[in-house]
Amino acid sequence: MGVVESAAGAYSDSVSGPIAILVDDDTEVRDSLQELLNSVGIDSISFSSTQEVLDAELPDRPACLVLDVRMPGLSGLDLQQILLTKGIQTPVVFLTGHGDIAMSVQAMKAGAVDFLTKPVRDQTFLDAISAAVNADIARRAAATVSRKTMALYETLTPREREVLTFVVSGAMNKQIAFDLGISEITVKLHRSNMMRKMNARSLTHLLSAWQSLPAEMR
Amino acid sequence: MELTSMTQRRAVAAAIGAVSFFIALLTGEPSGLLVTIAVISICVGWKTGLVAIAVGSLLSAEVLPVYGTENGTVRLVAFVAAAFGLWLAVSTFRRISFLDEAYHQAGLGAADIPGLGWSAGPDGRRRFPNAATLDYVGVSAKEMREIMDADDFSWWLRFVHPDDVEASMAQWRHSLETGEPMIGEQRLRRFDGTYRWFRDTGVASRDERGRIVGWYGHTEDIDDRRKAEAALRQSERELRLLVDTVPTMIWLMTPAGLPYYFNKRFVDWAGIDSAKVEPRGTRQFASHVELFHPDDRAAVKAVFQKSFARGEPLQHKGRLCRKDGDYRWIDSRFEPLRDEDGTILRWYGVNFDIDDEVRAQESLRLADERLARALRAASLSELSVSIAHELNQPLQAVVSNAGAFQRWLNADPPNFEHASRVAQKIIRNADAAAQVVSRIRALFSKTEGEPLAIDLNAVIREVCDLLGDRLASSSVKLELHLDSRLPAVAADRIQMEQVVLNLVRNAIEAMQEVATNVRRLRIVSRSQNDETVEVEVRDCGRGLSNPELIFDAFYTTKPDGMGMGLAICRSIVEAHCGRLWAENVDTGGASITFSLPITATNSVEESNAATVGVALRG
Repeated sequence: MGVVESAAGAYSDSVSGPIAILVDDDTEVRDSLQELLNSVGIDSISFSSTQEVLDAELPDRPACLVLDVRMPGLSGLDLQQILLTKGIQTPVVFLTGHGDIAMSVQAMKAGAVDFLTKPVRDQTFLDAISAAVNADIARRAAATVSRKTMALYETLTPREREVLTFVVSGAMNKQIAFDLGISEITVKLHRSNMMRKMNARSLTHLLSAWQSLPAEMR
Repeated sequence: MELTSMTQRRAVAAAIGAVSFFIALLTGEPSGLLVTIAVISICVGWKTGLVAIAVGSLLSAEVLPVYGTENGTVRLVAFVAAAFGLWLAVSTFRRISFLDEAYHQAGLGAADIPGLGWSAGPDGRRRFPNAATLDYVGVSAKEMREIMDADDFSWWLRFVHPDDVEASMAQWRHSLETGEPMIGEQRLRRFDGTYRWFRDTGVASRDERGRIVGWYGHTEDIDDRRKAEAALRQSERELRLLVDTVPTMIWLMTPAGLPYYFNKRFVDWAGIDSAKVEPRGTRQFASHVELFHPDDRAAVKAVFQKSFARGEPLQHKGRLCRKDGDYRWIDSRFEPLRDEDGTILRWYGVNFDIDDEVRAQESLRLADERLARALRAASLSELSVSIAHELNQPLQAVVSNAGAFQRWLNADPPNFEHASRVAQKIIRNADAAAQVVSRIRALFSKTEGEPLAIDLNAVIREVCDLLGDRLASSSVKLELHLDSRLPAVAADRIQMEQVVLNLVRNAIEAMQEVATNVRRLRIVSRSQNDETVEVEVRDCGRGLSNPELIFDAFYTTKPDGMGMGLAICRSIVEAHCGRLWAENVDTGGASITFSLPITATNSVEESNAATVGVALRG
């Protein structure tokens, strides 16, 4: 199978395939980066300013942002901050013509995947994109699991939730019965209902599900 | 004998009464008392007359029994009846004679009223006795008499304009009831049917006892005045409309500088509560100053106070608070209005909202300065950042496109179509990079063509203007000694600006460590002989430890300096066949001077900095 086909194949799979979102005020730079990504079969869209990104609706698929730092209007670092406050966790790769240490520290602290300076080697750039996209895929997968577990958790009664909290902290049935002031048989009943509702075949399974829940629910 | 006063009349009445009383007593004939009653009724009044009748009846009743009871009662009754009859006759006569006198005598007097006169009886019936009035309404004396006889109470209203009848009647009734003078304005019909405005004034005429015996009135033709007033009001309204509609803010101040009037546009613009401004002139000037931006208030106050004290027209620019809280730049101009003695009556002022222009200018100035900064490369590190950015962009494009190019070729099978397209782009990117390089080179070499004849004084002024803020913030006092007859020199204007800018900046920086009161910067331009001109920039800093070394590249005395500025300056000056040198001044500080040869032609031509700047930024 040739490159053309694989590229076309990647394109037809675009609904779920990764996409790179390029933001740079220089048309030639945007165009060349898109060419490069196109040559390895990664979809891309580009914007000439940070404001355009904020105005646009970003695709719901694994993605990564490639930001220039110095641009007219809001800088790439500003955009990164705004996206964070909006709860958009798309990984960010910076690509700038004149980065200094302070700038890169700020970017990395805010969670940037990489901080590259122009001109960047094509392979270095592609590696950074690939790392960022993979991070996003993993993040999205984790988010999906977490969502599913949350849905299951929502079906539990308050008592079952209490029992769940005790079980994952390693308490025995007798102990739970004593702490909750109910009989051991009732605890067993709640426990079996809870296991069934959480779709957990074993305690290990339950624990991993429990850990995928957001911290504030635990 | 004429009895003029009430007291005299009463005294006479009392005397006659007493005499007839004694006669009645002596004669025993009560009918003598009738004389007393008659006298009292005539001379004193009808009420006293009634009292006299009662007293007389009692006396008769006392007197009569002395002569026996024969016919006594009948005589008493006859006396009382006679007394009443007498009294009635007297009082009726008095009323008739009063009305007669009121009408007939008033008639005689009213004819003499100047202008359009009228009179009215105490009962409110009017008449136009005066010829001018009769002429005006077109009624003959005979018709007048007929009207009077017709007994129509409000006949005169038929000459009043229908719209004014009601008000006129109400006023007249009010005056009749209260006796107050009547003043009203109404339209009266002329004989030809046209109506004119009249002011009607009427006052009551009273007799000696305060009773109203009639009314005398005068109507004055105010039609012309009314029309003039209406026209005046109309023109005033139009003027007000004009003042409120012209697209500028107009306001007036009292000679003391208190706001007196704001036009509608001003009120709307500033959101001034007009209720607070009234009554006029009482609002403190201080509160007006508060409308200005806090940073401008002191200046505004100073300018206004100075102007008010001296009576000079003023012009001032400041930021004024709009009603939405935005401060906008305003150009205020004031002129005093004086009377013939030269005393100031009012200050007339206009405010123009020049915010947009100021901001546009400001942004233009900033853009200019930014451009100038990039262009003049005052700091090499700044320039290097610019160059790096300019170059990195096409380089990045080259690298990315080359990567793509390689991948399309390495694919199996190779995609030549894509590779060729990308190769085209690589060429384009490389060209762009080459252009950047050539533009940078153009900056430092003279490939822009023949140098133009330029005025160095203008260059110096422009640079000082550009660095005005910097001079002010560093508390440096600038002294310009520019030779007004300085000949033009053949030079690249941008490069000359770069040289002067560098020297001035260096001078400012050299004075950072000396006390602010001695920070003086002196720029002198002079024509040295017929062949060269010199520009000297002298500071009051610490001086130079080694005047010759400072022009070497990478030599610097500043912690963050690159040591390129003066080296570039010297190469520019030398490229123009000139010289640049430095000296220490005996009085302290350093002096850096450059000289340039005078151009053959003396025509000074302005070169356009902007076009070169744009070309550089590309």
